[in-house]
Amino acid sequence: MKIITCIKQVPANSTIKIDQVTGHLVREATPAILNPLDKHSIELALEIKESREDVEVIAITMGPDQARLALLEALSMGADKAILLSDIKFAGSDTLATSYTLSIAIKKLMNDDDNYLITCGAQASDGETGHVGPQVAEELGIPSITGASRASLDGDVLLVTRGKQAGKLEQIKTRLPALVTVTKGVNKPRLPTLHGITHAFDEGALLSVWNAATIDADEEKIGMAGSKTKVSKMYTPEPKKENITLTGSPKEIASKLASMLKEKNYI
Amino acid sequence: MQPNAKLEDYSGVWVVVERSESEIDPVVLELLGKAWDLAKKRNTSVTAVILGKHADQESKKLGIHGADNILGVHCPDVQDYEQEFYTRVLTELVHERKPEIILIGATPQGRDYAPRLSKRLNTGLTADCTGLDIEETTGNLLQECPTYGGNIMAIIQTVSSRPQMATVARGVFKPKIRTKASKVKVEKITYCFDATRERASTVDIIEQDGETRDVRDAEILVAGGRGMESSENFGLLEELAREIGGKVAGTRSACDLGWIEKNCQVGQTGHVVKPRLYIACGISGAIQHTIGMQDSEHIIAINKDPEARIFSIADTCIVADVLEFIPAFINAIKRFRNS
Ligand SMILES: Cc1cc2nc3c(=O)[nH]c(=O)nc-3n(C[C@H](O)[C@H](O)[C@H](O)COP(=O)(O)OP(=O)(O)OC[C@H]3O[C@@H](n4cnc5c(N)ncnc54)[C@H](O)[C@@H]3O)c2cc1C
Ligand SMILES: Cc1cc2nc3c(=O)[nH]c(=O)nc-3n(C[C@H](O)[C@H](O)[C@H](O)COP(=O)(O)OP(=O)(O)OC[C@H]3O[C@@H](n4cnc5c(N)ncnc54)[C@H](O)[C@@H]3O)c2cc1C
Repeated sequence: MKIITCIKQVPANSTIKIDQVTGHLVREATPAILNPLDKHSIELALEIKESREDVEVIAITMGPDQARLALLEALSMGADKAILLSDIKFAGSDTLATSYTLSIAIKKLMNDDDNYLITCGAQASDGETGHVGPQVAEELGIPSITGASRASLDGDVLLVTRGKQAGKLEQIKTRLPALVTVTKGVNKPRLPTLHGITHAFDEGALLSVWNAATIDADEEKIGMAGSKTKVSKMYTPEPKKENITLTGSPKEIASKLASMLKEKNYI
Repeated sequence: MQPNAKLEDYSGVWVVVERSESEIDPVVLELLGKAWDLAKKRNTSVTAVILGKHADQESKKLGIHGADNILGVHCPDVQDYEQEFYTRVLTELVHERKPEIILIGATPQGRDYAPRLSKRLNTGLTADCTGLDIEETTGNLLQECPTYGGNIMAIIQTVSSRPQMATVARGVFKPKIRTKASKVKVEKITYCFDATRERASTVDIIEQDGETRDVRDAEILVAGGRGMESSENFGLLEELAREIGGKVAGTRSACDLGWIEKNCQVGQTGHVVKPRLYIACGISGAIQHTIGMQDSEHIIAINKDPEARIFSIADTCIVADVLEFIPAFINAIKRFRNS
C-alpha cells in the first residue's frame, strides 16, 4: 500500500512583509521551513510503514521550486519518494485550488489503486485554514478524519482518537482509502538520520517534479483562476489603543479600579 | 455554485446549528446575531438550519437571537453528527434554496465538514473570521481574518461564486437579543440518508478527567503568572474571581509549577480566550501567552515591573505588588457592593 503525506513549506517566522501594490505576501524575504505539524504527519506515515511489510511512503507538496527543501527533509526522515508540484500556473491558489491540484496528482500516482492512506497536518502555520486535508478527501471521494491526537492502522481499518468538545474524546474509525489530519499530540517526530540524509542526497532518483501538464490539470481549477476566495486587502493591525495607568497606594488604586469596573458594567 | 446559476439567484443568510451536550452551542447564538446584521444590510432574512430533531423551545431561543426561519431536517437513520450526512444534506438544500451566505462555527465539528461542503458546492470558504461585513458597492461579504499569529489581518472575499461561506470561532461575536421578535417560521423536512459512500463512524466517546472548568466560556478571567509566587497565593485569585463572577486561568509557568490545572492555561499551547475582562496578575506578557488573550475586550495588568511587556497590550496598567494589591482590590469591591 501507499501512504501519501501532503506537506507544505511555510515561512519560518512572523516577520512577513506585505507587497503594498499587489497585497500579496512577500515570502522570499523570510526563511522557509517545513510546516511543524507536517513532521508529525510524516512520522505517522513512517511509523505505520515500520509496523508492516508492504508500505511505500510518498511525500508530496505543491509550491515554488524552493519547496524542494521540505521534500528533502521528508526524505531524510525516511520517506521513500517525493513529488514536487511546481508550475507558475499554480501560483495564487486558495484551498479549493490547492486541494484540486494535490488530489489529481494523487490520482495519477495511485492509478486506480485504492489501497492508500493520506496523512496531512491539521493546519499549516501560515494560512491556518485546515481546509486542505478534508478538501483533498472530498475531491477524491474518500472519508476524512480531522484533528487526530492518536492514530493507528489495523489491516485496512484506520482508528483515530480526537478531541470532540471540552472534556471529551472521540474514537472514530473508517476503512481505507481514507485521509487523516494530525495534531501535535499524535507522536514525536524523529530527527533526520545520517542514513536518511544520504538517501535524500539521491534526489535525482527519488524526487520527481510535476507541472500542470504532467497531471493533466484543468486550467480553470488551478491557481488564481481556480480560486474562489480572493485576498482583497492585507494590513497590519493598529497597535493597541492608548492605555491608562492607575497610580496611588494599593488601596487608592483598588478603589479607583473598582469604581471604573462598576462604571463600565464589568461588575 | 451550480454551473447554470447566477450570483443574483442567491439570497438569505444561513447559520448551521450545532449542539454541545444537548444544548445549542453558544457559537450558534453569536453567529445568529451577526447574521441578523448582515441580513439587514442585504435586505433579506436569517435561517437557522438544524440537522436532527429539535424541540419547540429551541426554535424560540433561535428566534430571540436573530433567526427569522428555522429549517429542521430530520433523518431517522442519523442520531448524531456525521460528516457525510451533513455534507450531503446541506449540499442538496443549498442547491435547492440558494442562500447567499452560510456561517458555521469553527468548532471541531464545523472544521470537519465545512471544507468538504465548500468543495462539493464548488464555492469559497474563509476560515476563522474575526469580522464580517457587507461591502456597500458590491454587496459582497467582507471576511476579516488574522494570520501569522495576529501580525497581519486579511480581508477575504468570495467574488465569483455563491454561497459565501465562513467559519467563526466561539467568542468572536456577541450574541444579541431581539426585543420585538416576530414569529419564527418553522419548516420541518425528513431526509432519507442512505450511506452509499464509505463513512467514518464513531466507535466510542471517552470522558476525560479534570476538564470541568472551561476558561474559554468565561466572561471574566483572573489569570495568574509566576509573580503570584505560590500555590497558596493563587487562592487570592480564586477569591477575587468569586467576588466578580469570573474564573481563574494561568500562564504556562503557573501551570507547570502546579499552581493551577493544565487545562486552565491560556496561550499558544493552551486556550485562546476572549473574555470581556482579563485581569493579568504577575504575568510578564510573553508573546506565547498574549496570543491567547490579547483580543480580550478589556485587559487589566498588575505587575511590579513598570517595563513588563504585558503593559503594552493592557488597557489599564497597575504597577504594584500583586500580593498587596489583590487583597485591597477584593476589599474595595466588597465595599462597592455594600454601598
Ligand atoms: C492570510 C491568508 C488567508 C487565507 N485564507 C484563506 C481562506 O480563508 N480560504 C481559502 O480557501 N484560502 C485561504 N488562503 C489561501 C491558503 O492559505 C492557500 O490555499 C494554501 O495553499 C493552503 O491553505 P493553508 O495554508 O490554510 O493550509 P491548511 O489547510 O491549513 O493545511 C493543512 C495541511 O494540508 C496540507 N497542505 C496544505 N497546503 C499544501 C500544499 N501546498 N502542498 C501540500 N500539502 C499541503 C498539509 O498537510 C498541511 O499540514 C489564505 C491565504 C492567506 C495568506
Ligand atoms: C513553544 C512555546 C509555547 C509556549 N506556550 C505558552 C502558553 O500557551 N501560555 C503561556 O502562558 N506561556 C507559554 N509559553 C511560555 C512563555 O514563553 C513564558 O515563559 C510564560 O508565559 C511566562 O509566564 P509568567 O508570565 O507567569 O512568568 P514570568 O515570565 O516569570 O513573569 C512573571 C512576572 O511577574 C512579575 N512579578 C513577580 N513578582 C511580582 C509581584 N509580587 N507583584 C507583581 N508582579 C510580580 C514579574 O515582574 C514578571 O513580569 C510558551 C513558550 C514556548 C517556547
